[in-house]
Amino acid sequence: MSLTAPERWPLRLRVFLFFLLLGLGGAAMVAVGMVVAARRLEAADYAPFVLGGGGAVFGILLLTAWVWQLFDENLARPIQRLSGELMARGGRGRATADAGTLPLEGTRYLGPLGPAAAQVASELARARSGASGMVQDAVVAVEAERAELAAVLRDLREAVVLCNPDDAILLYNREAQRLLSPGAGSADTLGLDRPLFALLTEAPVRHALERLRRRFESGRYLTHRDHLSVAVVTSTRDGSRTLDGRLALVLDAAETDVAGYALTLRDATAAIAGETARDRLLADGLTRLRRPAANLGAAAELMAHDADMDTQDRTRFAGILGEEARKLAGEIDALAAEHDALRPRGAAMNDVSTAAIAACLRDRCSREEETPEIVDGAGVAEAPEAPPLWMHCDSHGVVELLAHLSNRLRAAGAGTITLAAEGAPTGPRLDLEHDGAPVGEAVLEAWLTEPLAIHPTLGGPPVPAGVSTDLSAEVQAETGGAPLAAAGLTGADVLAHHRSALWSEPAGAGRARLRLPMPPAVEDHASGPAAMPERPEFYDFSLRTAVPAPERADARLDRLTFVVFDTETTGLFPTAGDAIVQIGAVRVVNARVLGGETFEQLVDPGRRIPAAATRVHGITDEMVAGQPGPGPVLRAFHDYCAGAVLVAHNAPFDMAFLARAEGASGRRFDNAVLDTVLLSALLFGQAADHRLDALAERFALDFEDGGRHTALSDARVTAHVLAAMIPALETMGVTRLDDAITRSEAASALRRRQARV
Amino acid sequence: MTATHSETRRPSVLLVDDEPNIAISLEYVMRRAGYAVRTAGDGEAALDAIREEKPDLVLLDVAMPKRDGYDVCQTVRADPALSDIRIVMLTANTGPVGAEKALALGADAFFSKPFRVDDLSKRVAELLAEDGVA
Repeated sequence: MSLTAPERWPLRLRVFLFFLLLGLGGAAMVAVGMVVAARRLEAADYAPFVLGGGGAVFGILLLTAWVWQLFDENLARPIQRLSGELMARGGRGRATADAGTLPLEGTRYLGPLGPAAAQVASELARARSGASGMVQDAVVAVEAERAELAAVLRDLREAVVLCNPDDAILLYNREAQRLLSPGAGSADTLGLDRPLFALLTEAPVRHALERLRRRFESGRYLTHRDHLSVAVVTSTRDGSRTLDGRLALVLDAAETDVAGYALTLRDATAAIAGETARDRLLADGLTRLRRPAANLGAAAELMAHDADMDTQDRTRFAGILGEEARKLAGEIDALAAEHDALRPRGAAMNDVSTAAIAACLRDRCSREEETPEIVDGAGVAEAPEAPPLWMHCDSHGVVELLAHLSNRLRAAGAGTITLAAEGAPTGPRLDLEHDGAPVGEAVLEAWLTEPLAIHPTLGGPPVPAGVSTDLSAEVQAETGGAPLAAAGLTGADVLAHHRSALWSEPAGAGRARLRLPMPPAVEDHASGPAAMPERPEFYDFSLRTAVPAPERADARLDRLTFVVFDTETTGLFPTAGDAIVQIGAVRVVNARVLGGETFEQLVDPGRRIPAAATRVHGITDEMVAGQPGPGPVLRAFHDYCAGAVLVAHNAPFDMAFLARAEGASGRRFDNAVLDTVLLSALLFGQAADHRLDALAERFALDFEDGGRHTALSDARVTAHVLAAMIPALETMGVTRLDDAITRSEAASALRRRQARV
Repeated sequence: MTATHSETRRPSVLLVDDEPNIAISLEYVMRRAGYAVRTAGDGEAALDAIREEKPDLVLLDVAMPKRDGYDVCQTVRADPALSDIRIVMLTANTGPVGAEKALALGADAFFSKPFRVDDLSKRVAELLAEDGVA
């Protein structure tokens, strides 16, 4: 809706101007009447006219002022308050418990308007609770889709980042957060709508993008093997990580334009370093072997061909032979050890717990008929005295191998099979314990050369009494056409992949075990995975059409990025030397509060914190000792705020403190600023309660009580208030940033005027 | 080759390896140490030789045609009549768990190639001395 200038004025101002016009107009008419009357009478004495006219004018003005006062008190203010309440209900999609009851105090002079509004509000609440079922279904469906996508992306081992054409991040996953978030002390953070190249070296990605863009524009992509993707190698901005992966252009629905691009990245630092080291080892190793080999060859040749060599020479050459042979052996051992240490991690290798292997094995076996029952033993079951162990393995291959072995054992009548594990410095040993004697090497070897597949209908060889030695031919004949062969993979392949071996040994009490050593886990699992502090927001596809920075003034409020912040200080007077002791901030993107991308930092103010201030925010001198000063914190915060609109509750207060620290940080906060106090005045009228608690209550936002009064928790409440205000503001025609700023400024001017009155 | 020696009993060693060059050297070393030495070139031949006349100690290569060293070792250990034979296993490459497997299957000692002949003969002498045959 578009409004003319007077229509934009607040109702109370318009009423005031109306009465002013009425008063002044009445007075002017009386004055004109008196002047006309005086002229007609041609009276020499104007005194009676002046007296009578003046009295009438005074009376009119007094009466008008009195009626205006009544009007303002009983009609204009209640109407403004009522409309604020109605808008708060109209703008918000959420039906709350008390949404139906409208506070009607002070509206008795509005006649049936108050009750009518109350009825509309309760009807609205009722309609919403009916409609909310449908809405809820839709929301649930969308949320489920989002959750599904988030789940898929979250646990990918590749980092995934999606950007719009302006390189602002639309989506990222957990691995991206791990790979791209720079170490402590850096100001740059990974976040939605943040510039990608604050974190990543730009040139290689830019180059790849240009290649893809040319491929797209020329139409070659339609026939290109890689379509719209290309391999890319880049690094983090601090150079600490080399990343390799792929870049793909994302087209819009009509496939006529580029909507953005997706990057999948993997940390290649270790792989590249390992490859380099292996190359060097090979080159070095050849030299190291060549030398003793040459010496050996020369000495041996002399001894063989020089028949009349005297005993002394012969002894000397024999000594050389021995020495060089020892050197050669030593070098081979050393090279083998070095090569072992540099071995690349095999494909599909992961850290897995023995409990997970056991669960998969049971699942795997339960899919077949006549399957062996496999019992969890020590080191596998969740037992306090012997918790599950961890190993580094290709769990699929290992489970297939164990299933195959278990099935062979069952077919051989091995009784109850127990999967147990025993820890060792070189990694856990997986044991399949069974009744009977150890399985012969020849039988095992035959089992290991069979393609992996559970084969319930064909019996395996019987468990041998003593050691059976003549079954390999029979086994091979049986397994000629195994139907479920996993791409021809054999147990021996799995063993080779893990550089392991398999054997059978007695386990006591008429039982034996197949033992399978596994490589040790790469990561430490004793303490469990590091917990994420708060669920980060991973993606926001609506950012795709994000607003480029220069046009932000004209941008819709619900398409903008806000940084909502709060400061805790040593006192109330920045000009009298009070300073910031803590900053907390939350980002709001597309009217969504992003819980994961927060800023929270204590600041050493360089002065004592008065006890009165500590009572408010609980921050003591001890807490800020050793924390960074205002300079570095404000620089980091400035980076955090790049390109965003700043929002604070009572913003002039916080902005004054930021401005005071400009000298220390060398950064100016020249972002656009919105104040939730002024927005509240705009929505609910000047007279309403604008305190943060009151606003939170009005918008039915629930916050646990203990959480308030740190900078971050206050910023978070303010952020939710802002997110709730945006749709309410929309119903007043405040949809764009510049609307919000100019209307706030008007509200601010009105407040100042009232403060003076 | 005759297997009986009427003079004072010398410790007997069976040398099992399919690689002739190492077999020649090891045979020489064992003879020089005063042992009666026989040789076999694969696992089948080794078991035949063992059953024909039980040696005090077997030097056993792992990777061999027909039946491998692990198989021979396990088979010997499973036969109560043969279980007191000392077994020293030799291998070129079995990965990090080769030694563990050899010992689990009943070998008394394990050497990976290349090894020092001195170390091997010392260990062989120790094992035979423990049994009181040398």
